[in-house]
Amino acid sequence: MSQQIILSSGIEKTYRSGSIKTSVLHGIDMEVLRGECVFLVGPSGSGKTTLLSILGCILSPDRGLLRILDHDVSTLNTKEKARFRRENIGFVFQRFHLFNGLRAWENVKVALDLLGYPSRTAQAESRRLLDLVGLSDRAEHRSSQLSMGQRQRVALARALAGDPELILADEPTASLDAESGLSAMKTLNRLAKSLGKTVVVVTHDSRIFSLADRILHLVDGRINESTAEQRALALNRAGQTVSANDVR
Amino acid sequence: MLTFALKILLSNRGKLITALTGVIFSLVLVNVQGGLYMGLIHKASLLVDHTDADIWVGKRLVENVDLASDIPIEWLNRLRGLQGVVLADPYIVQPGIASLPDGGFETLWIIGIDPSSKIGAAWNVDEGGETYVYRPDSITIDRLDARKLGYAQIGDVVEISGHRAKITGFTDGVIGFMTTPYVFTSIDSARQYARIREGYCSYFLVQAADGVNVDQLSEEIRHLVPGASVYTADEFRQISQDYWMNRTGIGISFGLATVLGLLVGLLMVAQSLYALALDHVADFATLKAIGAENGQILQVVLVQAAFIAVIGTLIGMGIVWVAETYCSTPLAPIEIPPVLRIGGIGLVAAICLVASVLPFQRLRRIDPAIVLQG
Ligand SMILES: Nc1ncnc2c1ncn2[C@@H]1O[C@H](COP(=O)(O)OP(=O)(O)OP(=O)(O)O)[C@@H](O)[C@H]1O
Ligand SMILES: [Mg+2]
Repeated sequence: MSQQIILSSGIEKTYRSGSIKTSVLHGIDMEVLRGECVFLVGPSGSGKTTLLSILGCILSPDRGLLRILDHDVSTLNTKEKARFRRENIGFVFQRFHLFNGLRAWENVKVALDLLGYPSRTAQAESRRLLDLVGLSDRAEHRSSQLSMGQRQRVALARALAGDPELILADEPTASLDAESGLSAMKTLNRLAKSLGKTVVVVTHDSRIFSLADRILHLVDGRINESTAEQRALALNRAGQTVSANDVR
Repeated sequence: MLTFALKILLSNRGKLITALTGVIFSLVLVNVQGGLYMGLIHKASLLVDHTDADIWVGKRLVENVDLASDIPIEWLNRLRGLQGVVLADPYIVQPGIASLPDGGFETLWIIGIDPSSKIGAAWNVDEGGETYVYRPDSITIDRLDARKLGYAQIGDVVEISGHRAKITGFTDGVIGFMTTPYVFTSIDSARQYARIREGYCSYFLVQAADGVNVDQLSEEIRHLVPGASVYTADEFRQISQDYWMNRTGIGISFGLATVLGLLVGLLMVAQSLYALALDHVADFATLKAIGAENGQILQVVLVQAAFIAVIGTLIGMGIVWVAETYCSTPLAPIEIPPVLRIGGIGLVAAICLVASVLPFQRLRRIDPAIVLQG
């Protein structure tokens, strides 16, 4: 398999509701390599979520080429996209989107159920994943009984269920306080590195920028890549105290 | 998935209860309405069901066992010599009128039995035994009808068509379709009470020898007594039941009420599953975002529908059991044949299946993109 996990060129997207057209993406060219942790930043309304949804095979682009894990996903139908998502992509959402009323391990198990794991295997695997994110002692708690940070860890465990190659996260720290946001993000980063996962994170949160291998800026519907210098600039602008050394 | 489906279902007790009520309502309605209908329909052939005759011979074009006309007893001689006939005895079913001590009148249905064979005798006799067959001017009536004869008791004497009739026994729960009291007595007393001419009766009751083809035997009898209608017990049962069904249309009204009830049950299940799905649009969208196909969403809805069907059936059958055990009376018996019981469960399963179409139609249109945009 090639080292390119994501390869896109010329992706365009316009929302149409009635007579109102909102043109959001005007030709996205990007490439993400295996094992990279790439951050996608940009002003509010710039289309970050839209792009992440397209990368996650939830939305379809109007135009352009998109290869994910060597599959031309722009040709997949709804059912094939669903299958592609559950087998290859793990999602972490801003507001967790856990299933209320289900215990922490049951939340993780749902993703494995979708993949057709036998129930016992799925149960054992769910508990193992909770252990990985440091929540083995909260496995029986319902999501309402967990702190925000713990909820995001459960969501992280669910995203890792089924061992997907690619993890997509939309503002994973935005619903968390600074400390637990950073902690959750560090966990994501650590696990992704140790398991060899590729990660794309949409974020506003400059405190976690130091965890990125690369930062892509979405401006005017196009991508500007941050160089190492731009990244340092970004950190400086944000007055960050966290350095790469703190994180590893 | 099972957990997901059931937790969602249990998350809203109100809707769960509404859906269960729909199922229970449908099931109880089908069984109780159907059982009442079966009970009523059997009353239309009560005498046929409880008389040990293989063949009934009556006046031409008789339409119902309770509504007989006179036939000459001399015809009986033609039957008695016939091969395959073990027994052929006269039987009377005719109305008579009782004059009550308070000056009122009561129409009775007089059943006259031949004392030599006692074929067609009263059943469910719980007092007085067979005295009424042997002793002249004695009758057995149903305990529930005693009220209609001025709260009559054993030993009381009433007057029927100007003749003395002493109550010597009671039956328990022998009530016909017309609810007119059945009065069991000997054939001679019956002829007086019902004012039937000497030499006439209402039916001949024929018992066939073992191994004789009853259809064939009735065909032979038909040739011997062309002036009569000859039916096997099964045919006469059906004819008697059809008579009341066609005259009264109770089949249609019971059927219509049941169908309407089923529709209401269906709506209750469908509407609560739908409302439940609407409550959980976000959860289903998340499920789709992490890769659930519509087929898997359908599984979730079907698990919910199946759960409602199973639990509803268990509770519903319990209520049906209580109804048939404690609410069935001789006046309105609830008789639920196994076909009805199983058919009812099948109907409920079908209702739940159909009901899950509605929420599924909504859920399959959910766009998982709302999870990220929300
Ligand atoms: N379903 C939709 N229909 C129409 N317009 C939409 C829809 N979703 C998003 N938009 C518009 O597209 C643009 C980009 O939205 P998007 O959510 O991708 O931005 P974003 O960069 O994620 O913003 P934020 O940082 O606030 O989350 C916005 O102007 C938004 O109003
Ligand atoms: Mg966004």
